[in-house]
Amino acid sequence: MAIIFFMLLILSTLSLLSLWSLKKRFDPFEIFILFMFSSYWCQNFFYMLSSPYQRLRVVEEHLPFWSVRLQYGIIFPVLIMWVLFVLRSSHRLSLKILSCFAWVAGGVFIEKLLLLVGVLVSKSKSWYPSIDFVLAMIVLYCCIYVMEKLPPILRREMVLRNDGDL
Amino acid sequence: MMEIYEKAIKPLLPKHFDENEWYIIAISLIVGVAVYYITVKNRKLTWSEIICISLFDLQLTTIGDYFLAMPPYDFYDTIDNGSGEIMDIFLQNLVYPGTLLFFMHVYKSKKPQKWFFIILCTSILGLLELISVSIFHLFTYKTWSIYYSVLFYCFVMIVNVLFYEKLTTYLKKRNGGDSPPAR
Repeated sequence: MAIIFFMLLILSTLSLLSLWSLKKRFDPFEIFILFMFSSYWCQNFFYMLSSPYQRLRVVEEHLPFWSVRLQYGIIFPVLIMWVLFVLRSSHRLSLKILSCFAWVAGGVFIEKLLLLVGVLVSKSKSWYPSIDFVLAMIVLYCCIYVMEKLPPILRREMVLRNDGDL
Repeated sequence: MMEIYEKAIKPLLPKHFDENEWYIIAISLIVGVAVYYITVKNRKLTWSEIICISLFDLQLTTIGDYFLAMPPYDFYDTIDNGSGEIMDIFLQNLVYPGTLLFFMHVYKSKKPQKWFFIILCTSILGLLELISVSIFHLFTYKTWSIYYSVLFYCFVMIVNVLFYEKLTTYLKKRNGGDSPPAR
């Protein structure tokens, strides 16, 4: 369990450092807001909707608790940021859609891994990943929506002056 | 339909709809009206500030409540269940961050002395928690105490004031030294 925790800690640190590279297409202020938003949504959705149900829970020990915090608080949101980075690029539509699917499917895959290594536990008869797919799509949609709505607000208040800020 | 209700909806509902649920509805309405007032009717904070402060406080709430109220720490329970229920959504996503946003609106508009403001807000939050616990049984303390809550609120207010000061300095620099307009 300690190995998993330290792996996730290293991954979290590296992923936070990778946010710097997003400056090619995002203003630093946008990166801050979008990261906070996606982190809040990832944590809240997966925690709020899993805690009343028996389907998926965090093992009630310190290292699994903090491992899941790192996973949903930092790693998942940074990966969403990279999906948003691809969506803002001029790459083909197929690549953009692939990146969205990859995040959704990757999230469920990582949950399954955490279930197998004992960070998460399921007390129900079976774990239906379809619910997690739907939740992940809702989270991703909300982040994309905010990414689109944010620049006009920031431009109106002269935080973003023009497209040269990107 | 009954199966959907039993498996999907019932775990989210309160065990008993009593005084703590009515209290949450009442304070949610009050905070909702206060947030409407400071964002629509009498907005002093810019939208950039509102968005940043709200997200910052939502993060604090998420981290704080899930750290303090969930196993393995589990210092207290909120409302009826030890796990999340629908009333937690109002508390964590509206009441806590909305109250802090209102305080920061007052901080910007009245410009009080920092430490006086922090102590005043900490006292208000402590008093509200005392009322919530003793009269409406909103929280069930396990190894927690009201004194820890006061310390925690003091920390939250200090962090909010520091964050706001840093944010306004940063936004002023972005605007070339001028305060952004609160249109």
